[in-house]
Amino acid sequence: MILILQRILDALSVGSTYALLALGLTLVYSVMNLINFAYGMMLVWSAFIAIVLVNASLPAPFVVLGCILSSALLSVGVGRVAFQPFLTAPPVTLLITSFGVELVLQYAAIFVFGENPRILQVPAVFSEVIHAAGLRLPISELTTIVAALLVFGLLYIVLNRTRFGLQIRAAAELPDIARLMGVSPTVVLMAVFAISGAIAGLVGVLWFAQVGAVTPRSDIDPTFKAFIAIVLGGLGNVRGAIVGGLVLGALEVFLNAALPSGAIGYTDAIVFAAVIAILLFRPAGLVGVSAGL
Amino acid sequence: MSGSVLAVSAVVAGYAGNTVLKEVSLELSPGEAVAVLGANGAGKSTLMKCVAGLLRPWQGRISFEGRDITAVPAERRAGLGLVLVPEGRGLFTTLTIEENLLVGATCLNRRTSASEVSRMVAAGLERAYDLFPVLKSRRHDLASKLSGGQQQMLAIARALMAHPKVLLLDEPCLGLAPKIGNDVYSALRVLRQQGLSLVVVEESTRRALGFVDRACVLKLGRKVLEDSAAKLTRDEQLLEAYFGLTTEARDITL
Amino acid sequence: MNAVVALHRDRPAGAAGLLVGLLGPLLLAALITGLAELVQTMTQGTISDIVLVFGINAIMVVGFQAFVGNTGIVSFGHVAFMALGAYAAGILSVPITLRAIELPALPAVLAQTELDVPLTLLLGGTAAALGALVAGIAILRLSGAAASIATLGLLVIVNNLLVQAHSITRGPQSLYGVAQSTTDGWVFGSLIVVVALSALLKWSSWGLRARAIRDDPVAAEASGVRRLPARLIPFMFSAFVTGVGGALYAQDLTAFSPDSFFVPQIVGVLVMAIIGGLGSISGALVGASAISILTEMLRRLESGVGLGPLNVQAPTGISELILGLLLIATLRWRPEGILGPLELEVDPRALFGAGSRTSARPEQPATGDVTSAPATAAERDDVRSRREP
Repeated sequence: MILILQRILDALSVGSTYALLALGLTLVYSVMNLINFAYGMMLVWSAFIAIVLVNASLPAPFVVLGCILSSALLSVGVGRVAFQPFLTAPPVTLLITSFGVELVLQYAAIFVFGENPRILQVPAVFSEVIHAAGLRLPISELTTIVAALLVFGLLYIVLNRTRFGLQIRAAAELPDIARLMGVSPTVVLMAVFAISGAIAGLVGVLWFAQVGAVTPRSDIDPTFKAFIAIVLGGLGNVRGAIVGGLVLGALEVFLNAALPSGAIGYTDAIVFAAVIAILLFRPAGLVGVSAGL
Repeated sequence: MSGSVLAVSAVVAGYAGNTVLKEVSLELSPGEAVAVLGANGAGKSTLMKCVAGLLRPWQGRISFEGRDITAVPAERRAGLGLVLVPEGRGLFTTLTIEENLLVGATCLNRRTSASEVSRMVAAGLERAYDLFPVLKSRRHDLASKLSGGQQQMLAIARALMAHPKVLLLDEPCLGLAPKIGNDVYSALRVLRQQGLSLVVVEESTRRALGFVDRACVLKLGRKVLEDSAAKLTRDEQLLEAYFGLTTEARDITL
Repeated sequence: MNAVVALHRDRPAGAAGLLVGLLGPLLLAALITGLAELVQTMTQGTISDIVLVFGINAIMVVGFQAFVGNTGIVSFGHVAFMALGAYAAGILSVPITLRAIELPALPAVLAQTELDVPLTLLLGGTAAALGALVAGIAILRLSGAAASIATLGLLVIVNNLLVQAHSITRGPQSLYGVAQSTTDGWVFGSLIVVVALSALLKWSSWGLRARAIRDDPVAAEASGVRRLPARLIPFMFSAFVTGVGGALYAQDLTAFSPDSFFVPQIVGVLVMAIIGGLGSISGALVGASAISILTEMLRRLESGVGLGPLNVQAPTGISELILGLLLIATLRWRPEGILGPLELEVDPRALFGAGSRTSARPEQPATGDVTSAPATAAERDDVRSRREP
């Protein structure tokens, strides 16, 4: 029983990370057909900026804030320059374009930071583990879950209780009709890139704090996980992103626990295969594609 | 040209290599109601898209209240007082009725101060609920739950939230039972009395002619006929024979 | 009077027309081969490896194009087939005695069989094609972007399997001792063969069925074309060609690990295919040539080159940057690539004033779409298609 609870906690932590990533991806996708292959590079850049800020002796909360803000800015810049010209392009064209953007961002990171791994130093408290009721509660995992809940809550309020959130939801469902009402597609697009970037900034710090080190080529893992989560849950809506992320996390954690030690290395392959199998029965994802956010 | 609230001058427009509108011109005077008639594919919706700003004409001009708005993007036109109720209604099905109405008021934000906007939004909601009481009782329901006729009412009400001077309607009775269509036109009559100028795109000739002052007919992208509604009503058979326009069954009361 | 050499979107009618359709790409391949050999002799073998790799890249791009051009699905996972081909050919070409030391746990059948070209090439291609069969049944029913993402998953799965199957592949460590049998002859000979086969596929009824599904899935299925088989044939062929490329690559490198076949390897072929034009075999060849020359120049720049009185040296990784920018620029301003859907056509009948150009089967006009199909054909059953105005 304790073991199950432990697994659930681990799954929630891993799943929350993936859900956040999927959320960042899906927000942009809901407004334009972009599934952003360069999203992982946003996390990488956030981690590098964190390292720079830590080296500048900034206290941890300011590091996180700095990363969130700079990632939001970077995302808006990339969105404006690289993706806005492709506003009406079909999804596959945008996917390939984002591949190109990933290359450019990666080269920039190599140019500035070099190819060698850099370590992201975290405050000691982050590595501690609380032991309670027979459970292992790593602070890092708890932080992730709390952060995710905060983000989901904030996003819910913004989307459902503010005037601007209403405009985003309208533009996500019917962009042309929204224009007829006076909703500016540019403003909505930039806002969505900003939010998506902010999320990437936060997750970047959390992710690489746990992994420990980052290189300019570390973007593949987060990107893949985000892609699988978004396709698993259903493209273009918030529920799909969260469900997809959590299910992916659960799959990973429980597979890891259930597999015999000899087969653990195959976890990635099995998870992917499972996702493809699910897609065969539900091609639109677990939650499915909905009209709007 | 002066004195007209909306003027379309020699507009040529289309999609990727396919010319749909070939030098179409149209004028609307304040307080007037004009119908644009024509068979499927004649270019009526394309014309509406040009006027609303969703499609940029290759040639020609669009003027609103004497000002050239050809280069004005679609999201700014509602704020000027030119609003389109799109074909198929275009309601946001993931939003509630009230949320749909509130989105319709978005363009007000650029027009005036925040407090004035709040006042106009409140006034707009009140007008909408007065005109269409069913919307008020269900205002927290999703827009998708409404019947066809109610959806059309919501679409019109949403357009009114922008406090428009000119209202464009693209096939307002599409998919609606004739009786419901009559209700729609009754509502439009009320709006005319309130001073609104209207352009209605219709495939159903008789109903439109019973409502508007003037009508023009588009055929294959050109305006081939334009006259007062009265004169055109007399030549109904002409319209049917030459332009393939439909007239509907006899039991319609206008 | 028709031109002898021209660019066309489709081929002339009839069996003779089929041969004409073959001739253009084939001659282009032969031309490239000739030029490559010329370069070899002129440089006296100093850049022999570069020419070889160019030839292998050309094969990969042709393979890639055969799938993407005919189905409209952009595969990000083709590197997986390269890996399958490389490992299948590689393992079985390591001399038996060395193999016993390197892979002691290898099953007897695999441990005792030693092969060399051309059998290794056929084996590599077949292994990849079999992988495509299994994967295709799972993936090819999905549409558009979902299928593309699924191919990425395929790459991860294959990579994971290769790393885990220690006893067969040496896991994450390098497989070494592969027989170095790749020569210009095998590379460019294979290129000519795969170009011919790809052209045959394109102009056959299989190619047509795949493109019908690509352009209008609903109409095609209503006409009796079944989606999965229509896509599966180009997928398996494309995998076969890519597998052959991988086998050639393996027997050139002689040592490699699963790391040699992952995401960074996607870029090259993708850029070459897009620049040349995803719609045609001629485009694939043109793109491969153009980008190979470009990357070679950039590589020179990275190691420093004299430009007049100055010594210019570009920072490392600049090729990545240029390729990325080139990719974005192409998609922005000429998404159909250099040749678009046009194939080079050489019609010798025109020399004799014969051979009229009545199209065999007129195909749809190209739009600015990357796969030169009408807007979002592959996406039509994707909800996102409602975005199109």
